[in-house]
Amino acid sequence: MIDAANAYLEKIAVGSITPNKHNPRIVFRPKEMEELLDSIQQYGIQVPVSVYKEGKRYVLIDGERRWRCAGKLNMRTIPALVQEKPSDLANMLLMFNIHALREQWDLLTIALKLQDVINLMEKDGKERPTEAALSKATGLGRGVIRRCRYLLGLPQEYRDQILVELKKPKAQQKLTEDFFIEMERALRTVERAMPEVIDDKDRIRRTLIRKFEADVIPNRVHFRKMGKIARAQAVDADENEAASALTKLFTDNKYGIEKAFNDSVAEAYQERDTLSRVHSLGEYLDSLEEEEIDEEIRRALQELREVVDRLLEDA
Amino acid sequence: MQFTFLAEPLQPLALAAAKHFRINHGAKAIRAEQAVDAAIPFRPTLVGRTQDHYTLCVEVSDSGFSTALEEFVQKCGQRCLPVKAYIAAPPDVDDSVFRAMATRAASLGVGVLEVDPEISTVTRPAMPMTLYGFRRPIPRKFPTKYRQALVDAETLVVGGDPAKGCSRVYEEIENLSRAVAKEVDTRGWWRPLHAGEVRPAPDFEIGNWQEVMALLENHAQFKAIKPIAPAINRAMIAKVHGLAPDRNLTAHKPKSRTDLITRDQRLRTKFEFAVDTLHELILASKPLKV
Repeated sequence: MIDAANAYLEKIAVGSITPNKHNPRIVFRPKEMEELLDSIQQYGIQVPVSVYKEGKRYVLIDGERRWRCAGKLNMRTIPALVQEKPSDLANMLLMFNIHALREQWDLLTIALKLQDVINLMEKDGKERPTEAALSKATGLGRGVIRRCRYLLGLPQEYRDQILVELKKPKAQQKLTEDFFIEMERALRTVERAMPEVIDDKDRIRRTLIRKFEADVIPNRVHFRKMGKIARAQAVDADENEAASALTKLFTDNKYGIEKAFNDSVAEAYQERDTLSRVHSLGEYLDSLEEEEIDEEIRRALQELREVVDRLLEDA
Repeated sequence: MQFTFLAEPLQPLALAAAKHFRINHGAKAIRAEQAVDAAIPFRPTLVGRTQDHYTLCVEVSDSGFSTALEEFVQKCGQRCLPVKAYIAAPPDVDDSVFRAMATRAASLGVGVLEVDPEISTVTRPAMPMTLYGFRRPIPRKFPTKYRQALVDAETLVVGGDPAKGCSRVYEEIENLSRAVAKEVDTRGWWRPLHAGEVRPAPDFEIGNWQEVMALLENHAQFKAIKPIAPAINRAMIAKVHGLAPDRNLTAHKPKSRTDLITRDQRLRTKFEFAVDTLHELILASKPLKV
C-alpha cells in the first residue's frame, strides 16, 4: 500500500494542509473538540498528524481534529509525518486502518465510506468483495461490517436523521445508530419468518420510531423480542397469535413489544427455557460420580426430588 | 464564510451573529476564524472591524468559556489590543451554562450576544481590551450617597465608554469641591488681599468650576482651615483643580488604531485617578460636614 520507510517527519504550515475528502469522520462534536483544544493548548501536539504531498499542498491522512485545533489555536506549523501519496483505494483503506481501529468512530460514518471501499475494491478486483475480504482490507470486524450494512440498508431520510442525532452530545442522542440497527435486525427477522405481516416496511418503521420516542418501546433491546415473536415456529408457539400480535404492534400506537411478546410467545419461550435447563441439569447430574456427591449436594438433591415429586403428583 | 473549527450546528448562529454586528453595529470585514494577532494563540469564530477602529471578535459557543477563550481575552488585555470581544450563545442554552457564561463575561469585560437566527440581542456590551484590568472602584469604601454614581461610572467604562465613566466621577468631585468652596467662603477662610488685588467672586453653585477651584487654590487661607480639616491643603485643592479642564470630557474620535490605544490608555488612567481623588476629597472634607 504505502512504503512507510520513505515517510519523514516535518513541521509544516497549518495553512498548507487540506482535509482528506475520504475521511469517514464527518461529525465533530463540539464538546469533544473543546476538550482536545484545551489539551493541545496545554501540552501542544504530542503526536504528529500524517499527510501526503499533493502539488504544493498536503492532504491529511490522519489527524483532522488535531489540525482543526491547531488552526483554532493560531499555530503556524504542525508536526507531520509526510508519506507517499496513496491510490484512492489505499487512501481509504489507510483511513480505516488508522482510525477505525484506534478510535470510537460513529458507525454511520464508517458505513457511508464502506460503500465507497466496496465500489473501489469491486473496480480493482472486478468482483464484489466478500465480508471476509472487506474485513481483512479494512481491519474492521465482520460484526461491524454487518452492522454497517444494516445502516446502509436504511432509506436516506433515516440516515439523515442519524446524522442530525450524531451531532448532539452522546447523552442527548435518542435515535441512535444502535436503535436503528436493533430495529432493522428485528424487521429483517420478521420479514424472513412472517413476510405476510409486513405490508409497508417504511410505515412500520415510522410507527416503531414514534413508539420509541414516546417510550411505548422503552428500550431498544426490546426489538430482540420482536424477532422472537416472528420466530414463534421455533418454539412451537401459535403462529397465528404471533402474527396477530405483530400486526397489532405495527398498527396500534399504544401497544408495546413487551406486551406483544407476553400476549403471544412468552409462555412458549419460557417452556423452552425450562426444558433446556432441566435437560442441562439432568445431563450434569448424570455425569456425576458417587464420590463427588458430598453432604451439601446430597441435601440439595433431596430438596429438588421433593419439589419434583410434588410437581409430578399435582400434574 | 467557511468555518474549520466551529461545529456545524453552531454555524447558522455564527452567520446570524455576523449579520447582527454588520447591521446593528456597522461592523465591517467580518471573517471566519482569522488570527487577531500572530502572538495570540486563538482564532475567534468571527473577526471583523468596528466603525471606531476596534477589532471585533465573536466566539460562538453553547458551552461557555473554554480555557483557550479565557486565555485569548487575557492576552488581548495584557497586550492592550484594541479588541472588543463578545461571546455569542444560542437562546436555548442551558440556564446554568448561560449564568456562568454571563458572570465570567462580566469579570473579563467580554460582551454577551444572545444570538438567534431571527433576532439577536446584546445583553452585555463589550469593554475594549485596551481597558482590560483597569482598577475597579470599590463602592463600599465610599459613603452611601456616592455608591450609585460609582456603579454607574464603572458600568459605563466596562460598557466601552470610559469618557462618560470619567465624567460621572468628575461630576461628584465637582459637586463636593463646590460645597467645600462655599463652606470656606461662609467661614471667611480667605487670605488677606495684597494691595490692589481683587478676590474673584464666582457663583459657587453654578459658576465656572475651574474659576471656583482657582479661587480656592489661590485665595483660601489653608492655615485657618488646617485645625478643622487638615487634609484640605493647597496640594489637595490643586489636584482637584487639575481635573477641572477634563470635566466635560468627551472621547474624540480616534483617527487610527494607534490613536485609539493611546486614547483608551489615557482614559483608563484618568478614570482610576478620578476615583482616587474623589475618595481623598471625601475623607478630607468630612470634618467640614458639607
